[in-house]
Amino acid sequence: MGEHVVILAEGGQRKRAAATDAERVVADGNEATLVLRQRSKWLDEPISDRVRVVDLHDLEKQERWMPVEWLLLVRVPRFAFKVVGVGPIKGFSQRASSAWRRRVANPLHRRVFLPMVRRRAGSRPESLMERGIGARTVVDVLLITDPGSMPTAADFLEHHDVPRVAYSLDHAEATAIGER
Amino acid sequence: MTTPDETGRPRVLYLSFYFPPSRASGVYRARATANHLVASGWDVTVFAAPLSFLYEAIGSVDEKLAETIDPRVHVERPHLNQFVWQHDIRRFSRFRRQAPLLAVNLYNKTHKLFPEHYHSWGMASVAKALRMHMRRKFDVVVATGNPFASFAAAYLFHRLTGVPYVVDYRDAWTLDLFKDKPLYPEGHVAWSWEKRVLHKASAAVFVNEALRKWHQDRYPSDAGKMMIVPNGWDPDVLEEGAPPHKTTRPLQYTYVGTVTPVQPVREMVEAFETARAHPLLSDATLNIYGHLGFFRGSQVGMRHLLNIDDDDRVGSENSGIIYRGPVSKTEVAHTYAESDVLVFLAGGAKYVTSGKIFEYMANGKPIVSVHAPGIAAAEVLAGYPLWFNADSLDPVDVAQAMIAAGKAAEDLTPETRAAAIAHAEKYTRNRVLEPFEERLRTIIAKKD
Repeated sequence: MGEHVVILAEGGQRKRAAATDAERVVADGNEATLVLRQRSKWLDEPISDRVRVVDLHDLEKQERWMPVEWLLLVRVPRFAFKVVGVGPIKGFSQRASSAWRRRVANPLHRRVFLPMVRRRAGSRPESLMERGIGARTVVDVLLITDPGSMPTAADFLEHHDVPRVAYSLDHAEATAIGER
Repeated sequence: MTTPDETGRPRVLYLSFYFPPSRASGVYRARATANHLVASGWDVTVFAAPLSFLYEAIGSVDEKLAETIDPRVHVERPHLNQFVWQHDIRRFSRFRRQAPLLAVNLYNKTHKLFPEHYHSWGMASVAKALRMHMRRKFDVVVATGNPFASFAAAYLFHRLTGVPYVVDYRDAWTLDLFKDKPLYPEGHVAWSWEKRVLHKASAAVFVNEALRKWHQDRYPSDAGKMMIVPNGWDPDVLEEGAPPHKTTRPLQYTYVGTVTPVQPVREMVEAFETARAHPLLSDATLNIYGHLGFFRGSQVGMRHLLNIDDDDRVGSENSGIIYRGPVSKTEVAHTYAESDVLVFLAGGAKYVTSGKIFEYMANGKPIVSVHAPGIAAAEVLAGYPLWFNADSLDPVDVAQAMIAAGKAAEDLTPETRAAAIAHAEKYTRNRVLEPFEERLRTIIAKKD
């Protein structure tokens, strides 16, 4: 087996470059793990089946009390709007439901609950990333493909010895990828 | 009179970012200036780039060159924010790791004040100079660019202390030498900086007439303070008077210097391959000595451009061109002694002199030109009896010049060589720096 290249694309600003680099890594007989956030936002960017994908958003959702938050912020209000929204106020209720999601639930999730979750050592993005790729898996090359991935990469590197860190596959190849 | 210290020596602050052990292209001029001033009775303090920048950020050093600095020269290395050269995320500050875009935006904002990545070095230089000046006064500041943060530092120091300063344009600030057009758009902050720096400077020094003329036209009110101090050659590293190498076939052609993409390297390779069709050059070799690019990372691209194979052969298989790798300035004399013909490969034209040409002339050997017509170096080569210039970059014309230079090398007489060396004597570093040193003395005498 060749090298294990972890491609961090958490910010999603350079999706095509990340997917292409992952494709190139596996085409060269190496192992690629693409770490991203919310796979659903990558639907327009085909990712090879041979590339292992770690979705930090999915892992975050598995946190113990995230389902509770989801229930309180999304499911209960949605159910309430549905129950109330019958007859002539059905349209109004649907609009209010999506407005709630957009204006209240999402900002609360992003600004209040997620930071609380991420404050826990085991729930920080770098810990989730470690869990996703396997705590004992050796990482030979870490590609940081966008600025949004930098905080996670920096924290990950504080606890892991990665021989090569680069910002693209070309940059990594300049230091002889596959020739350790 | 001057402000002498206990030893009676006037004190100069020399702001030269690139200073040995740096091997940047203009470092020899800086080295020679510091050594010449200290030998002429000055107390010289040099502010140079931090060693971490030279070794880690750009990896461009020649340690043997540092040994040629007069031990009386005092070198300080003010701090430089290496933000833009720092690529290893593990060494980023906590702020930059957590907010990378904000960090970049804040860093870029500082460019509105001074448009160079070296501005933090300039500011640190001013702060350090002020501290040193409070303990013992500087009489004059000499700033050499690039980087031009040194000019700005000299200007600020002058505004704060009144100490006069001289700017040495080793390179052009606002002119693109290779494209012969302004480097910045009108209204760019670089223009206002250059204007105010030149206006307050006691003198401005240029390496050739073409550069001085361009600046005189641009800043006519300061034209009177502009002078020329050409580059020169350093007898101490060229073992002046070394006996000429006896020419035996096969002829050895040599290029010594950094190879960069702005040079007509392809034309040189093609011309030499063409010239090898001539019986005289059929077994001749062209040896290329020097670094490939100025920075550690430029090797790969240059090897590709020159088509260098694993055996360091350049061009086609039988081109006769070999890349020999870098040679230290202190070992270059031996390289010249082993050569029959020197190849002057230079990029650009009108404004480019190249420090290398003085060293070439000092060896009294045939020089064949590979550069665009009208190069400023022609000013100093005119009168050199062993100059072979095709005045063209057509490989066929350059090949003819190479053949003629080869013939001259075979027929070289002691008289012709002596005449060539006599021409080069006009350009020893000490000779070209004497008027500059006198100018500095005049400036500090005026101040008092």
